[in-house]
Amino acid sequence: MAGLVGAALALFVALVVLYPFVRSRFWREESATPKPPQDGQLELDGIFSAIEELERQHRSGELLEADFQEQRSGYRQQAALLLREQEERQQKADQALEQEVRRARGVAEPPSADGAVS
Amino acid sequence: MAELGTIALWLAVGLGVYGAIGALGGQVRGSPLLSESARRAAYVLPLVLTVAILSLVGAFVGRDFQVAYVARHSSLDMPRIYTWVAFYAGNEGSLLFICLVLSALAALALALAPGETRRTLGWTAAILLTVQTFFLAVTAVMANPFETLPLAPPDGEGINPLLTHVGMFFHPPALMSGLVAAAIPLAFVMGSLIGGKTKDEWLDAARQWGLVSWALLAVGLLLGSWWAYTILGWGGFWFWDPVENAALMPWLALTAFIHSVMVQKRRGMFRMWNIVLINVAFGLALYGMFMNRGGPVPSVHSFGASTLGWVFLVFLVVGVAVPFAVFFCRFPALTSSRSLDSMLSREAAFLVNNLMLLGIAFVTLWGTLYPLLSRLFGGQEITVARPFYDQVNGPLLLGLLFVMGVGPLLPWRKATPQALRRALLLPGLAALGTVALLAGLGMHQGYALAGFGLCALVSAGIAQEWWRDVAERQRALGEGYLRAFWRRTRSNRPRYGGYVVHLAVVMVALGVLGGSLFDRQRDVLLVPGQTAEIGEYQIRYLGTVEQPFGDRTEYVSTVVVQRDGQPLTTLYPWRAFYPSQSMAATRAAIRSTPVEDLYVVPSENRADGAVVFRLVVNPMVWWMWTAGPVLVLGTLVCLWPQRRVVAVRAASPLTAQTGRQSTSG
Repeated sequence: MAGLVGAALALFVALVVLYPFVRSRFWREESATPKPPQDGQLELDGIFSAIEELERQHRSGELLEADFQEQRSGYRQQAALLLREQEERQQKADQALEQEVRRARGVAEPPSADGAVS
Repeated sequence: MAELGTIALWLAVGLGVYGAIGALGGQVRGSPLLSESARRAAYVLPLVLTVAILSLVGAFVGRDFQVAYVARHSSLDMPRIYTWVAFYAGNEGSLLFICLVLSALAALALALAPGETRRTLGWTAAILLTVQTFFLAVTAVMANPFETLPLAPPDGEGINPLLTHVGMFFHPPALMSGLVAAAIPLAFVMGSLIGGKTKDEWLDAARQWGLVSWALLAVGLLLGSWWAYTILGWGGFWFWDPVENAALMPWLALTAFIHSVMVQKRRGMFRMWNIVLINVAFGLALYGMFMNRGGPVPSVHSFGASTLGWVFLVFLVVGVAVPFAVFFCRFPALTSSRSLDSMLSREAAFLVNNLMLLGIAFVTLWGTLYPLLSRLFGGQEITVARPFYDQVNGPLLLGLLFVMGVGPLLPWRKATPQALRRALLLPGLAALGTVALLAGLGMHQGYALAGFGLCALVSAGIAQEWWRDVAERQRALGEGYLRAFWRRTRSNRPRYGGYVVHLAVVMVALGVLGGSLFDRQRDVLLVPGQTAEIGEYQIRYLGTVEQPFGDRTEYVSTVVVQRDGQPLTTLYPWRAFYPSQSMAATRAAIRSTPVEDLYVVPSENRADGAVVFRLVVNPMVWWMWTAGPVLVLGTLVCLWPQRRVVAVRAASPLTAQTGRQSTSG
């Protein structure tokens, strides 16, 4: 009985450990699945918390004025960058949606700058 | 059961070897498949070891005395509740437990590894799996708990009576887990260095796992002190025993590390120092295991009959030499462009704190090694006892309390006179007020006055900072105080969790000061009906009842405690004799209050019913045991995940460094 359970355990372990090789042999496409993009909101929240903490430290005298200005400026730049990325993502999503709607309505795409229709 | 356990154990050895080689090969050859397969070996190891452990526990539950380990550490009369304790009561079972804990923590560490460490995770996994393989191989080859006897004895030898205590359910597991967990921060640091990542890539992972190891050791040490206090019958809680010291030293080094690493996180300094600290902490953890498992000094805490000492000595040498070799190889790339701006800064306070902690660790190591060295070189063993540690470590511990009080109040980089006054005025006044009050009440011991004054300094500093932060938020946002407190605490968990831990340390300090400097003790011989006095208490001994059990005979005494003629309580201290082990064990009866403990323990039972009692009054020891849950709470607050952002560090004269870190501190 113990031998049987032991053999089952060994088999299970072998399957788990060797699974990456089996997967790559038979299901190559799985690893190519793209990950959904993140909207950056969590990072943005984190930056706002960091600025809040920085301001607290500045008010309580834990931080020198120059350090405070430099660090806050750094966080603001990070936040601005993230907000710009968010905006660009949103613009792309809006454009894609607009195109979908146009296609659905059968309306021709507006000509682009070089005169071509996409 | 034993067969299945053996299969699972050897399967675990195979997995460990495969995982270590696979992780190494995957990293060197750049094969993600091999790396993933190796990591999966690490993930599945805890499961396999759980099967092995369940097999051993099953053998204990079924009283399968054919298994030699079960026969040595249990008996038919052993209360079933102690089955779990019996499982790790010996070298073999405890090693198996260590294997499980290390494999589970390593699997968690690899699965939750932060993004910065991903590129070198193969090295980290290889190191962790190599350490695991060492423990697994020693267990399987030299200390196999599943070895069977040719003939099953009718009964076992029984569990060590000293282990039949509720503290034993938590104290050994916490200490063993804390010691092996020190391998995880080391593996992240070494993995990064070997992989050529010489900046701060390992910082967050090493800090988190260093904190886990530190907290486990802290809880283990506190529980061990509580166990010694209630069961060893001498009225104290810390004996400076070599094996006790062996668990204290890595804790001290880790305490230094988790403080110093905050400076690296915040200011980009102390990188090399932190690597040295984690190497030292791991080395001391290995030293602790060596002392515990067949080391040269006998102790109530060690597995005395073990022959594994030399194996652990070799592992200790390798475990110290290799990380330092890696460190020296990467030395040129580890330099930091920053230096201390002022000695009146938080980073300077952290450095002083580090030096004091290492000073205490070194003194303790010296005291632990001295008997061995004196025997080796002088031919005569000279034991170092409590007065040595008290005289040398006492002032250092007071200094540490001072730095703990002042350090968190100082600003980073440089303190201006205004900032210093604002930060230190109230805590300083609280400290001076406490000293004046106590001196006015008649306390004249310098150590005690300094100690209590410093406790007041630390507590007032924490209260002041927390109150200012909350009040400021309340004013700025118009939130209620409770909401502001909650939000403020959530906004910087490492900071406020650290405050909670510091409060726990103050509680421990109160217990140590009260119990060490103001304890009163008497040994009295009482016949039934006789009364003895200690402090304000009158202890009336009524008599002793003999209670036979299968494995022991208990002698339960009844004493009535009075104060100023008024009855307070009735206590039942007992003493038991275990014939199969030729050993007696005592259990103190303790009336514990925040003000003081009254401790009664029988040290000798005479045939005529007379009993020799040790009576002890220990002021404020209650605070020490209460500190345990507070310490755990503070650590959990520190470890609770927080949103991570790219940290911006303060200006540097040369370069600005950034890493993916949070801004806490």
